[in-house]
Amino acid sequence: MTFDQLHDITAWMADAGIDELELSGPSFWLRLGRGQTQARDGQASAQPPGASKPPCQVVTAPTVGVFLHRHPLHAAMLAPEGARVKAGQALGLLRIGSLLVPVTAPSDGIAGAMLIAHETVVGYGTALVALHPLER
Amino acid sequence: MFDSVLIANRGEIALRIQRACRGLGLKTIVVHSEADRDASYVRHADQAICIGPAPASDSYLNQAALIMAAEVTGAEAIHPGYGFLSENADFAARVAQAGLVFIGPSAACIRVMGDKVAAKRAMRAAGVPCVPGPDAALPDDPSQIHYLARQIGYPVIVKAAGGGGGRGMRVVEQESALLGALAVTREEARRSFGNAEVYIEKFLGHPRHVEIQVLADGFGHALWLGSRDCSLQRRHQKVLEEAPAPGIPDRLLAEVGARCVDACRQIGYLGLGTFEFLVEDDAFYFIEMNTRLQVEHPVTEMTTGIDIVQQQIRVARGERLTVSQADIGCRGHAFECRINAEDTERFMPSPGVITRWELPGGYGVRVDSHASSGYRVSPYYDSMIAKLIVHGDTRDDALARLRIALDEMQVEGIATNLPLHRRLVRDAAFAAGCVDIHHLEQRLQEGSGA
Repeated sequence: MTFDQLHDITAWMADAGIDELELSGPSFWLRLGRGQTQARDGQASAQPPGASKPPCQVVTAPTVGVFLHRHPLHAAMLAPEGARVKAGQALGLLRIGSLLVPVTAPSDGIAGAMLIAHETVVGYGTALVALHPLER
Repeated sequence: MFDSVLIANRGEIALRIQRACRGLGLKTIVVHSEADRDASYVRHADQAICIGPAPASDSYLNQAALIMAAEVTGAEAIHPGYGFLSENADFAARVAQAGLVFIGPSAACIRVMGDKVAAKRAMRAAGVPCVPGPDAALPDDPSQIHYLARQIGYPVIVKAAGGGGGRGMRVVEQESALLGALAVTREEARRSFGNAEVYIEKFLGHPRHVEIQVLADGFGHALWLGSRDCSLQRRHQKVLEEAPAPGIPDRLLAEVGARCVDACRQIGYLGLGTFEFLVEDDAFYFIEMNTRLQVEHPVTEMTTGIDIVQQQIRVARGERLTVSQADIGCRGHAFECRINAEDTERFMPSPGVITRWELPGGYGVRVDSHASSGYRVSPYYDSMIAKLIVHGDTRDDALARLRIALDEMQVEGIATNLPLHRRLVRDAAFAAGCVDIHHLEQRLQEGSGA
């Protein structure tokens, strides 16, 4: 098993939406997980750099509030699914009284699905929105 | 008038308040930390909201998060329970500023009573008996301090004005040790309470801890609901409480109770409060007022037949008290054991998962607890997991019931102080009544474990 082959397998996994794969042969055993990689070939262990993509992140509420997908004065969502976002960019807002607190992307990525409906009361740590890594 | 209450606390008292609210038809909103997310009382609330991670400073003590939680959930009132922010005047003020009702007295009342020197002055003015000693800040001149101490008579105790819970105090046996003790206590007080003011008063050698429960509405009516004896303490933490305080003449108690009620009226007190006294040789000495619901409130509920928490919420809603002092009686006797998740050899907390949870029951037995089999006792908070409360026609009757109930209660998976309680209720001096506040520590030092 070469690093090039590993690279191909992880790309196929990402395309097919497979999170975990185990493969065993006469002289090796391989387990790949999105975000974690383990490989063994008899005696040696190898963890090839860049063998798997960074995992999909879930952005959580930093405080209590009412989760908004869009600014109250705008019709458009701040981060529609599939949009490319930069680190620090607002993915949604938390309304606390008259205050609007942005929920920001922790890193560059592709905005995923909203996990909570617009105008829902959320608590600290509630999963709000998925953030997918950028394609390499 | 409000119809929804945010419960800014956790554990058994969050459940107790929730029950009281439900009984009054009020909507309950429970806030919780990540550590308490799966607690059953959280699931039973009308609405639950996580306000922060496990450490109390990031959740139950996070004033902004609590007020924001009230804002987004539409809660109209906040019940602080006991501990955490229940006696924090700034929090009470912030709640009021946010247009919400703080279920408790005004911020001004909390502030006065939180400063022991100011509280003592207010109580003296209201005719409540206090421990001998000045009710003003100490002078700077060492010779004047020595003079004051000599007037009181040694031993004296040096206390921090902002202290409480047994912290920030030091006993001084003789004059040569006074100035050193003052300096150390001042520094400790500055670091611990942000207030370096200290005062001195007479140190009582063998006092009992007796307290008077009061309840006041917003129309100038106030009641005292009887006495409690909380002398069984370890490191100033109450372990076992009872109502009424045994062996105190009714006339003396009624006189002190009436003074407490007068004091409530004079300071414009609203809600529940407790006047704590040291009692020695049938003389009462005020030590402090707790401006909140107390852990040991159930023993008063059992002997008065009044749901104290419901009454507290009713007066906060602006209702008038519908009972008069003449309606308040003391029926029988009640005990409460604080069941803590701690090993009684070293008194260390014992967090973990409860694998066996068998509760006592039967006539006159009540258990207030949020725990159950499979419940994880968190290392982040106070170790109390249950309060076992019993009631009987007489003290002996209640004590006999308590012995049986303690034997019935079985908790496994974590260590508890049940063995200590079982020994305590068989201690001859305690069974006779009227032990002083040093009794439990002395028994523990003797090695007999009470």
